Amino acid sequence: MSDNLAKTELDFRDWVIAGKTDIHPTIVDSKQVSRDLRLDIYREGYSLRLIEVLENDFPVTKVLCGDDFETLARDYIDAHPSTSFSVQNFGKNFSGFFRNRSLNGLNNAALRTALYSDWIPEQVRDDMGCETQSLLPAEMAAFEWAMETAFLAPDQTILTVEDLQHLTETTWPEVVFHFTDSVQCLAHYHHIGELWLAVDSEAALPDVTRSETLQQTLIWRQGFDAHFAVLSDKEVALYECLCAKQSFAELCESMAEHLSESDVVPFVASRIQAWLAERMFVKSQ
Amino acid sequence: MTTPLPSLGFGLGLRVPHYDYVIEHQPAVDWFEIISENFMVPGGKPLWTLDKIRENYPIVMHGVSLSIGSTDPLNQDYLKQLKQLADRAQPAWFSDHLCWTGVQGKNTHDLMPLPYTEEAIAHIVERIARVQDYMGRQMLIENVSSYVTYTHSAMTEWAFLTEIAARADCLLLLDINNIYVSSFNHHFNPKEYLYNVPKDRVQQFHLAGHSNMGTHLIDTHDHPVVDSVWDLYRLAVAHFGEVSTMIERDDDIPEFSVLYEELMKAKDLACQTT
Repeated sequence: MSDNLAKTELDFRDWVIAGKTDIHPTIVDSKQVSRDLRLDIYREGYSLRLIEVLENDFPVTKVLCGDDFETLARDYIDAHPSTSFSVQNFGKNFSGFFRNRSLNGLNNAALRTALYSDWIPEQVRDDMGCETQSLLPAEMAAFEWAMETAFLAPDQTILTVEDLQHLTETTWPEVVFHFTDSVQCLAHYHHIGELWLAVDSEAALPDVTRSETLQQTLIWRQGFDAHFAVLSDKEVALYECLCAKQSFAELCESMAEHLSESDVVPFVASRIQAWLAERMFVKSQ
Repeated sequence: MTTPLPSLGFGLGLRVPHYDYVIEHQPAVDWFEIISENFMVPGGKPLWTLDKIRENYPIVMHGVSLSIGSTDPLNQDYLKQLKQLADRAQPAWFSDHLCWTGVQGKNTHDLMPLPYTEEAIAHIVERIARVQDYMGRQMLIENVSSYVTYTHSAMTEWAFLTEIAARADCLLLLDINNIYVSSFNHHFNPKEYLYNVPKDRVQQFHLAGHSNMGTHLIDTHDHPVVDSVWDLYRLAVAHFGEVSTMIERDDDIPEFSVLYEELMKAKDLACQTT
């Protein structure tokens, strides 16, 4: 490998990604099409291609941002150049980008900044570490990214009710349930699921509503489709115990902190049964 | 070891809007070309779709991210996933572009132009050899559309392509539209390009549409094939004989039947010419 080719590529890349002009003297100029126009084709093509990727991966975030989406997308492209061979990974920092991006100065009314710019308590602002105006698109981008990653999660052998039929009273307490790789839990304030469903079904965009406390939404893949459901506090507790690889006996012991003694086993059993039916557990090898 | 395979006939680029149609209706297309990266995913519906379509059609794999001309090291993770996909799809062959897509860890996700130099040839030949060793088969390299010429380029594009193919012992995917687009943008005779490519290395043709910006053409794959490219294709068929031909459409993708009609036009032209 010679330095010349490496320098040519680096200079060209720096033009395309960052607008640096060191490459210009090495490009032939012509009367019909100027050197600058020729190079602009690559630089603009780079931006348009990645904007399209973000539009496809974050359709509801785009609706929320309205006409400002392109400006925000271009800022994201500048701030987070792709480091992966796969363009499918490009949006992984989009939610984090919103958390660190002030939306002041943008024109879009769709973000409804007036609706929620003053509601979030100081403590929440500190916890979320982001500007209040940016919270809704940040949460929606995280949701859409989670749905996409669930959609493409690895194929695994799903645990079924039939797989558990051999268990006895003595072996049940030791059973540990493992979530599939598609299962993830997302914390948020806004009722992002309602918004997402409205856009997905091409219904009118509902008013943005939110909770005063953090909500937890479970996301997983069932068959070929990504699903989601908002969890109750008790379901969140159970989810966390399952993630900690607690056995059935340990789950019941942990859930006793949240439920009366007589309710523990019925609750744990019913939830596990429901999540089994929704194909959230993987069959252990 | 050049061993061009028999022609697969006339194929189409497999695109997401047509997945369900192809599975349900099994249209009379000889083969499909997949974008490799679309199926280099952990799991889910894309891989199921690939398996279903593979049951009924020959497949070839066409990549956009090998970055064979980059001065970064070959991406081993990419190669590993590419080989896993090839093991699964059992393609008739695999191909990628004569370009680079990123350098020093940052990816442009575009087909960036190379200087036509001896240095670049030596660099790329060595990398193709390593890719072919890893994949256990010959690969096809495709000419790309370009909009710039480097001041230090020392030869024509076809001389560059031909020399790489000979020294790396790889095969060629000739994109007829790309030849036309580049000939317009750089003022060379596309026939001269065609007639200087070695016949025994051409395994596949691409046909596609482009956008005419007046002073220059851009390879957008969002229009039907234009008459000038059909004319060039006719010459290519007359010169190279029966070569696997497919139509690419990546944007403004029409109904399957529209692309099928365009493919039948290619077939008719080829039959009239050979």
